[in-house]
Order: sequence, then structure tokens, then C-alpha cells
Amino acid sequence: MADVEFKGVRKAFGDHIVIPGLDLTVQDAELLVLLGPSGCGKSTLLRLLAGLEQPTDGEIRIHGRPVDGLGPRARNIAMVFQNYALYPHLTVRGNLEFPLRMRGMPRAGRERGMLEAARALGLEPLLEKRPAELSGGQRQRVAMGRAIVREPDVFLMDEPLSNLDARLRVQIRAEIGALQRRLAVTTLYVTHDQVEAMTLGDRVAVMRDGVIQQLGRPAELYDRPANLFVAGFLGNPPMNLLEPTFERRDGERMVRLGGTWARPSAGIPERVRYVGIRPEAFSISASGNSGGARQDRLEIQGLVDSVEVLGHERIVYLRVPEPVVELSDGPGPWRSAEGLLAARLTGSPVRKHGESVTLTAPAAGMHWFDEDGNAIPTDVR
Amino acid sequence: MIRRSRFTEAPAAWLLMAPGLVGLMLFLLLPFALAVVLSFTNLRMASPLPLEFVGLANYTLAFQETALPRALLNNLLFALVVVPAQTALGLALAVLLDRPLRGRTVFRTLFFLPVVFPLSLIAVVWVLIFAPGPDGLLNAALGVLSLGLWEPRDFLNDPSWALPAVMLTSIWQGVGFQMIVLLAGLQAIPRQLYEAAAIDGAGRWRQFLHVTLPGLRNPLIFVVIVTTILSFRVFDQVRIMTRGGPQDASNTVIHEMVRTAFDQGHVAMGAAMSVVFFVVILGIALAQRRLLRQRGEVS
Repeated sequence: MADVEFKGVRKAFGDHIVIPGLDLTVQDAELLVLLGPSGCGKSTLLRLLAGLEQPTDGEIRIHGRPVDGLGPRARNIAMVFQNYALYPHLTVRGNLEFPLRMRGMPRAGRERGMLEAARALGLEPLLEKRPAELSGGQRQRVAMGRAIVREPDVFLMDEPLSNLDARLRVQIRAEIGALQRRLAVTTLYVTHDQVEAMTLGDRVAVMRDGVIQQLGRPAELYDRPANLFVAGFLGNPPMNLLEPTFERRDGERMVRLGGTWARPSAGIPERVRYVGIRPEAFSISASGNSGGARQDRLEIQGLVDSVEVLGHERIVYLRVPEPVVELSDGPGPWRSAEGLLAARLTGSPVRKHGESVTLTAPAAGMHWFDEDGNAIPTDVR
Repeated sequence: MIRRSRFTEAPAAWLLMAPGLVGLMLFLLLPFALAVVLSFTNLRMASPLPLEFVGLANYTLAFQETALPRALLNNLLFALVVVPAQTALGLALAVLLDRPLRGRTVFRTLFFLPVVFPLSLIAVVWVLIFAPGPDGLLNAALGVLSLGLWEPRDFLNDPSWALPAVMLTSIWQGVGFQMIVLLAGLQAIPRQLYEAAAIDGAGRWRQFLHVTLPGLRNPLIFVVIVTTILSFRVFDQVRIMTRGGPQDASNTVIHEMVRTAFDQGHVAMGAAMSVVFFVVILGIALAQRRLLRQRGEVS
């Protein structure tokens, strides 16, 4: 069942168009993550659903009911704010009770609901404390508690973890996921953090300039990015991008990629402008056995520039003789003079700066993109 | 360690405090001590009589033969009306001018202007507004508004209107101060709190009750204390507008004190009044402190 629907929703502040026209359906009990860089309109979308902003155009439905013109009060949604927005003069108890009080629930029911929420989040020992006396993680839990206390139709979470330190973030992230699954409440979760999006989301919508770039399950987005933006936004270090050049050599159609020639007889179509390779698709070997012109795999030779040791893996940066393409938040991909490729390696010997090595990636590990940055399905090959 | 550093810091601390302490001693403690001593004497300006110790005579006389009781009552009335009225009005103005209103900077400036004007100047202007007869500004305006039903009166010489007239002037003059302090307080309340309250189901009025008012707690306390103190110190308006009249209807303690000590030259009696007044003010200050402490501080 569709629980939340955006139909042709447009939002402009004066002349500034934040969302040019958006359709999105969130399924019942689903946790949908809105992921994108700051200013991409993801928070605006949340605020539109909350009723804190009204759309310039289009329709929003909750449970099939159009909510246009309804204030936040009439929508039965709950929201967790980035800075938690706890009422500073109220105790934890007061904060948890507040939504019930505002809905005119009698005292006994309030007490029961408040205790239930407090128990679910382990807040019972803190009930008489004020927000100022709580740690960041505790405040976050109170904000969650205030959201679940009145059993809303939809949860909205606006970067709820961004004010926590890294360790706590991982812990509370897991708690949020578990809580959402247990309560099975439709949830929209806004973040700019790809790890949060990948770990929490049933589905993830990647946004840019108010437009959904791709909507799908996290693995789908990672394995089959719809365009360069999605490809570059997910993954750390980001996907390596190379520009192939096509040429006829000795009567055979050849492609030059990352400084090596390949024979793409059944390989890369000529409309491919960018070839993307995830850092983990590479494997590494000492240079020498140069057989660049293989169909089933790509081999690139270069010099080790630097190595980041992360414990369970190493990121090797390789300097190649050709410029590579870098993605930016700007309008399009940029050519980088650096010519650095990133490879994520596990279990291979440590490489030293300046060492000459060969990176190898299987053909299946390549992503193709056309002139406009849109993905070309690799199953046409 | 701590002890030693404290020990070495002490002389510097005393040195830094010295100018302030000397000022306090010279202009506050010493005069007050003198006032206490003088209040037990018969000192009069330009009196040929020798200085004598008269015991509590000045105190009993002050309550029996001067306007002190009436002045105390007037001060109390003044505070009871002006403090809540001015605070409520200041809060209303602050809330109004906190919204994205066209020309709100102009309005803020206009409402704050009286605060920076000298009180004596404002009093003179309001004397003109309260001018008697049908041509007096306020009388004329009320006449027009009531379609001629209003009977012109001499506000400042009418025993039942003199004190309210002074109150009105004071409220008008001081409301801008409250407004500015409360505006600053309003702007310190995070917008998300209002949004959270709206989502939690609070309408505008409940948002005001549960977000705005608690958020303004400290500025409100500040404003109420300052206004209470100021309303017991009322002097300028009374001196210029009514001279305490008619029949002491608008007399205040400070005004009566000045009149007794300097207009009539009865310094000892004035001193006795100032001691009485000090005790009253101290009582109010302690009561307020206690009241606020009970409710606890909000960080």
C-alpha cells in the first residue's frame, strides 16, 4: 500500500526553485532515505510533508488523503530534528508527554504512553532531568521518544545523527533501524551521509537540485548507478572515472583507456564517454606482464603515489599517465590533471611510493556513461 | 596550589575593585549611614537651633504629619499597575515586531525613542497632551472619538486622574525598553522549537504559552525587576507634571522626601523617610529574590 505520495510537487521560494516538480511514493512501513548534498531540497521535501511549508504546486497524500492546506497539527506526523528541538524548560517526562498533552489526552493515558515510549528507549532513569543535563545521545533518544509517543502515521527524521560523535552515531543508527522495523511506521529519513543511507534505507532516493536522480534499494544504487552523480555520490573513495578514446588501428577498432590500449571487439560501445570503475574492482600486481589488450579485463599501469592503511584494507592511489575525470558538486564532471586512480585492496603486499604496478579490473566491474552522464546498461554488450 | 594562587591574586583583586568600592562607599554607604544618623536628630536647613538627638520622633511624625503614608500607597499602586501593564504591552509589541512585518525597523525605532529622551522632556510633552479644556490634546481627541460625549477635564489637577496620568506617561516612556529586551529574548528562541511544537499539535496560542513564554523567562524576570525598582523611584514625572498634587493624589515617596528635605528644609525628616523607604525596597527585593529562586533557574 502506498502510504505517502508526492504528485508533481513543486516548491519555490520567490524566484528560487528548490524542487522543480517531483513524484515519489513511499510504501507502507518502509524506511525511505532521502540522500543528497546540502541544498539538494531533501529537507524541503520533508518540511513539505510535515506541513511546515506549503508546496507551490502539486499534491501530497498521506494514507491516500490529500493534506494540502492542512497544518502540521492535522497531519499526525512526528519529526526528529537535527538539533532535537527539545523543550528546554520541560523535563524528559514533560517533553515526552507534550504531544499527548497537546492532543488533549487525559492524564492517565498520557502517563501510560509516556512510560511506554520511555521504556522503549531506555529513558526511565532520566525522566526528571532537563535536556540541559543530558548527553547528546540521551537528547537524541528523548527526541525519538517524543516522536514515537503518540503513534504517528509517518516519522520524519531530519539528519538525526549528525550532531553525534562517530561511535554513538553507529550505535544509535542501529537503534533507529531496529525501532523502525519493530514499530513498522512509514519513515522518511533525510541525510547527506551515504553510510547512513545504505545501512538504514529499505530504499534510497538520491537527490540533486530538487530532482530525484535515482530511487532504489541501496545495493541497486551502488551496483547500478543511474548516472554519474549517483555513481560519484555513493562509495568512498568514489568511483574512478576514465575517458575512453576510440581509434582504428591496423583495421581494428581499439579503445585507449587509462593510458593502455584495449581491443574492444565485443566491448565498449563508442557512445560511451565515461568508464567508471569502483576502487574495490581493482586488483594489483607488479608491472611487467603487460597484456592490456584483453577483452575480459582492463589493465592499467602506473606508479604508486600513496597508500592509506585502514587496517582491514588499504587504499592505493595510483598515478597514471592520463588525466582522469573527477566529479564535483558543480554542473558536470571535471577533468583532473592529477591522473590519480584509487584502488581498495585487501590482503595484497604493501606497495611503496613510486613502485610501478599494474591495476586489473574485470570487464564486469565497469560502468558506462554517455555524454550526458547517464548510465548505459552494460547488458547491451 | 589553589590556595597559593588565591593568596597571590588577592592584592590584585582588591586593587582592581578599589575604584568601584571607593565610589560605593563615598556616594552610597556613607550618605546612607549619615541619613540613618541624621534621622535621629532635629537637623533643619538654616536653623538656629542646636543639633539635638530626638530619638524616633522623626519617624512617628513622618507617618503622622507628612504625606509619607499616602506616597507609599501611591508607589505601591504605581508598581502594581505599571509593572504588569508595561510588561504585557512590551511583550505584545515585541511579539508583533518580531514578525516579518513591513517597516518593522521603523516601528521598533519609534517605540524605543521615548526611552532615550530625557524624562523631563517627556513629562513636559505630556503636560501639553493632558492640557485642560476642550482644546487640550487628549480632551480634544477623546471628544472627537466619543462624538462629543466626552466632557473635557483637567487631568493633572483631578485627584482621581492625576496618578493614572502619571502612570500612562511612565508606561509610554518605558515600554520601549521592555520591548527591546524581550525582542532580543524572542530572537534567541530557536525556530525549530516552534516547528516541533506545531508538529506536536500546539496551535499558535499554545506555542506562545509553551515555547515563547518559557523561552522568555530570564528576560521577563530581568524586565520585571528593573521596572519594579524604577517604579519605586518615580520622581521626574511627578515633579514636573503634578508636583505630587492635587491633595497628594500623585505624590510618591521620593518626591515627598525631596519636598520635605529640600523644599521645606527639614533634612532630618527627609532622612527618616529615606530610611523607611530603604527598608521597604529591601523587603521587596528580598521577596522577589526568594520568589524567583524557589522556581529555580533554567539554563
